[in-house]
Amino acid sequence: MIKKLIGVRNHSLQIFINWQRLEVRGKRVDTLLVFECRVYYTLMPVSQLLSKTDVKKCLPTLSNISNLNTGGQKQVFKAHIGSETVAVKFVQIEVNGNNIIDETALDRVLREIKIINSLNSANLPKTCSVIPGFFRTNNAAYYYYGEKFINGYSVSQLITARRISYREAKQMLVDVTTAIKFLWESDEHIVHRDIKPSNIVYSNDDGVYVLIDAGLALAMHDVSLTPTGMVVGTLSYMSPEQIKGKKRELDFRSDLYSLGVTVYQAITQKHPYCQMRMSDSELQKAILFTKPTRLETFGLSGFPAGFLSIIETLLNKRPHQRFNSCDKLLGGISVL
Amino acid sequence: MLLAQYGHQPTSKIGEALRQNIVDGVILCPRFNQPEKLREITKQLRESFPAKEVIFDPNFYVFAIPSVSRIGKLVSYPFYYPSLRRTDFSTKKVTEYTKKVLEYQIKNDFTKIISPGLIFPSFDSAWAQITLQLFSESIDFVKSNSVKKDLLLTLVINEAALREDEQLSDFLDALTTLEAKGFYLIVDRSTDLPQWSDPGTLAGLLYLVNSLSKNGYKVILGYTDLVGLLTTAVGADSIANGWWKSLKLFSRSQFYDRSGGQRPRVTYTSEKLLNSVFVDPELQAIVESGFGGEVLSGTGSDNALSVNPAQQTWSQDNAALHHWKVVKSLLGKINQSDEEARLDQVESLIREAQTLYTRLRGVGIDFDTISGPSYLRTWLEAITVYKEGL
Repeated sequence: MIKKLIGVRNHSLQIFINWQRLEVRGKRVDTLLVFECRVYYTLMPVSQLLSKTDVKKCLPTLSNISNLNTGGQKQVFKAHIGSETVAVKFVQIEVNGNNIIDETALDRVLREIKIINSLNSANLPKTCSVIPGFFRTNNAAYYYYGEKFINGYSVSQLITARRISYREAKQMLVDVTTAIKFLWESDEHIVHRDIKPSNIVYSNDDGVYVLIDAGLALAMHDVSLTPTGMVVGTLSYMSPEQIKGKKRELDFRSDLYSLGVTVYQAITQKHPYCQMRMSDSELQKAILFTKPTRLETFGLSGFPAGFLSIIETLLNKRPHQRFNSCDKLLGGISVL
Repeated sequence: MLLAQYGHQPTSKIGEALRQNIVDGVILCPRFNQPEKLREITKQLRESFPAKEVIFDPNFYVFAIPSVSRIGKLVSYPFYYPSLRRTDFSTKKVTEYTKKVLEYQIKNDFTKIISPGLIFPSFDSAWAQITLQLFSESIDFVKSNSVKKDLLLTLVINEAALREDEQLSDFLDALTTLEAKGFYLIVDRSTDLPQWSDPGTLAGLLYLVNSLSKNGYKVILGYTDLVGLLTTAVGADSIANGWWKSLKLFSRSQFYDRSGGQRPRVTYTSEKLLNSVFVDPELQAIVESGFGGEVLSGTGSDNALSVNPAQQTWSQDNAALHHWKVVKSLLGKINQSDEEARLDQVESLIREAQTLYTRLRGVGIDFDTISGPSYLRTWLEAITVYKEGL
């Protein structure tokens, strides 16, 4: 029996099929057996764009509102509350056919966002005076939360410009691992689910890397707030277990994997799996089955072999082949 | 490390092995002693050998084996639960079983705490899931009661499960987040034959041990004989075995009544052959053919066997001490810090054993199925499969 993973390009619709070669009365017959059919939305697009007026209506205390960016699941607005500069994020959520939202689930998400905001880590966004809440316009529903605006640049901006140094890579690894640890060790055992270069921001003011958008995946993970079978995250940074949609809950090792992909890309300027004109299904197959090019072959000067080995360990396909605690990873980095 | 697996008729051999530093500790078993007697044994061992491990395998897994009859003194223990079925593992019951098993150990002076565990036929079976609940409950118990001793989680896996790579990996994903010091691992063999015949199964065991070890867990393999060389090479912390065949491999058949039965044939463990051979006629033929110097292990305990071994007295106590000395010596040969170097050393020992077997056969010495060399090829193939899978 040969197991094949075939992607059908229909946005992100994926069909998993079994291809069996059978002997029927001495004749070889190929059969296709669909054993799993799942709809994968790697991103839930914002179908209704909010205007600055909408934002002002939602949060009247905001001033100087400007649209910072819109992408995927969210719209981000930069604004002021008094002397404070904040980033306010609106995440569109699912409304069922009767125009009803699961309020219990929404309450849970908002509570978890408050927990994330309460985590006192230099590597997570600082809380601001915007209280997480829910906003509904005629056509769509959103939850929103605010963070102190970070004066700095994202890792995606950085790596577009240049290959990062060992010192930068090491700091990024330590800082983001610390953020992952804080999230996982919180009472809710939070998994970020969407670690990627654009979600890691270097703060010029504090001199640290900050993992942003931890609150984004929460609602996406909640079945009652999302379409069935939805997979949260950005495909090219997803862990194999995230792609497989494992029954078992994801844990922090999934985030460590995504961090590994990010650092790999940052130090080589090459994504470990993505290639030009690769379809989503090809990318999924690569993430599930292909071993990335060994880092030692890139001739990275100034990078100790131990550091490269740590990154490769993070990229192992199976969670049990990575680090089973953030402290162990941090310990491994500290002896380099 | 080498531990003595406690069993029927221990006589003085465990104390002697501890005194001579041949074994590094003992795994006690409730089936062979009443609780009062076991408490006394534990006290003596702890007082006489304070630096040695004294661990207690609660044998909880026995309670879920259907229709067991040979459970010895287990009935006298406070955590005795006869004939457990799947429906007997409600959340409340899991808490109760765990509490009883762990409380008993805390009250006694064992060096480590062993969780309850169940035998499971596959990693995706209901029994495996219940085992995870027992682990979770054990971890919670140890935390909430501020138990200072290290907790080992009991894994009793049927060997057939070890062939299922995907399920094994899924299970490892779950195991490797557990907050315990390590695992007390027993392979439930589907046969009473001591040798492993399937390289894929053995490779699965090596992968399991290696993965747990790489994740920072101590792995103690119970009921493990010379195959423990391979498991130690891939990262196991300790292996345990004893003097009876049933203490060198674990099989559910030992818990059922057997009709008749023969007195076990006397065997001799050869360090060079990496196996035990029958004293009569195999060792006798080896010595007569002038190969005694190459096959005898020279542990001191075996001096008497250098001439006409079939006619010598080779007591069970002597055989046990000799066996442990051989295993200890072999484990000492694979103490390199690097896994690859340890596996190279094991492969080298296997090839030397194969060569010696070939020479012995060349002079007309025949071996029984279990004392012959076929398992050596299985070991080599298992190492190859294991390395390819990494």
